Amino acid sequence: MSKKILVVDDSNTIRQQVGMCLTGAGYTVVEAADGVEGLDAIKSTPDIAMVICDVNMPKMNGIEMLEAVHADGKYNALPVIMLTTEGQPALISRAKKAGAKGWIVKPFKPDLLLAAAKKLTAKAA
Amino acid sequence: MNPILSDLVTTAASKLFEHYEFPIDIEQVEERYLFRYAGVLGFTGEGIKGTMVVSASGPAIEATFPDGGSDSDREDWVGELCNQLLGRVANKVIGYGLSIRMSTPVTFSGTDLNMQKVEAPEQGGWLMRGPGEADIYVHLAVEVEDHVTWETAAGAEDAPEEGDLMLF
Repeated sequence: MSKKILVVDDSNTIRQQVGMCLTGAGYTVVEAADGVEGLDAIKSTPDIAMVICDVNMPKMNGIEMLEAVHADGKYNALPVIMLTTEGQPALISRAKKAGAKGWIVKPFKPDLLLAAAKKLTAKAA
Repeated sequence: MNPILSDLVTTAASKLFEHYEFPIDIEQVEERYLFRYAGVLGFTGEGIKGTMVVSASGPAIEATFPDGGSDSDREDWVGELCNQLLGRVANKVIGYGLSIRMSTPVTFSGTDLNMQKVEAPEQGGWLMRGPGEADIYVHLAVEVEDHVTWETAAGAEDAPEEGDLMLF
């Protein structure tokens, strides 16, 4: 069975691009449009192997979502990488402290995104 | 327009569109343009605030996002181009000791759009022409406080390069 990756981004076109990249490599993709939807998806979908999450989003941003995910000890093993236009060292440090496993500044290179997915979903298995 | 900011915008645009294999010629222009699709982003930081508008013709959208079929996708994509372009500029101003927080984009589309008066102490516009009718216009309006010197900040950490993967 293919591994399931949650993509959280308020841009539908970015979700499409990331989704095409991941499904082309055999992953199943679940989508959410903001941090609130992302958190709901994590709680309602037990077999998510990894999360790819934007930072600047309405309702709840990606760092807040990450902090909420890891505040619940149940999801400590769930790898989350941030995919964002942001590159501020302070934000990266905050995400790392909150438990993020990686950071990619958009636009992404498909081969690197897939390398991260392969490495982090293997750890999660 | 401050020459450092102007250079940051044009360099960022060149590199962004190079990523999408969309060759462009960039010209700073006085006239303002709005094409079929437009995205607007606000930003703020200590000593600096402003807005960026990125507007693109249909062929420019198709050239950078060939899979976008619907008008809604095209609007979303121009917002994402604005986000990625301003993001590159924001990541470069860190080197000058500035920290910018960006809003999420607002997008719109239409015909016969035009941009009239823009109130801002500093503003600049760049017309970016690709093959055919693939045109993009970028407008940056900015207010910078006097204490911002545009000198390279000692000890400022560099932002990661676009596309790079950092694993922790």
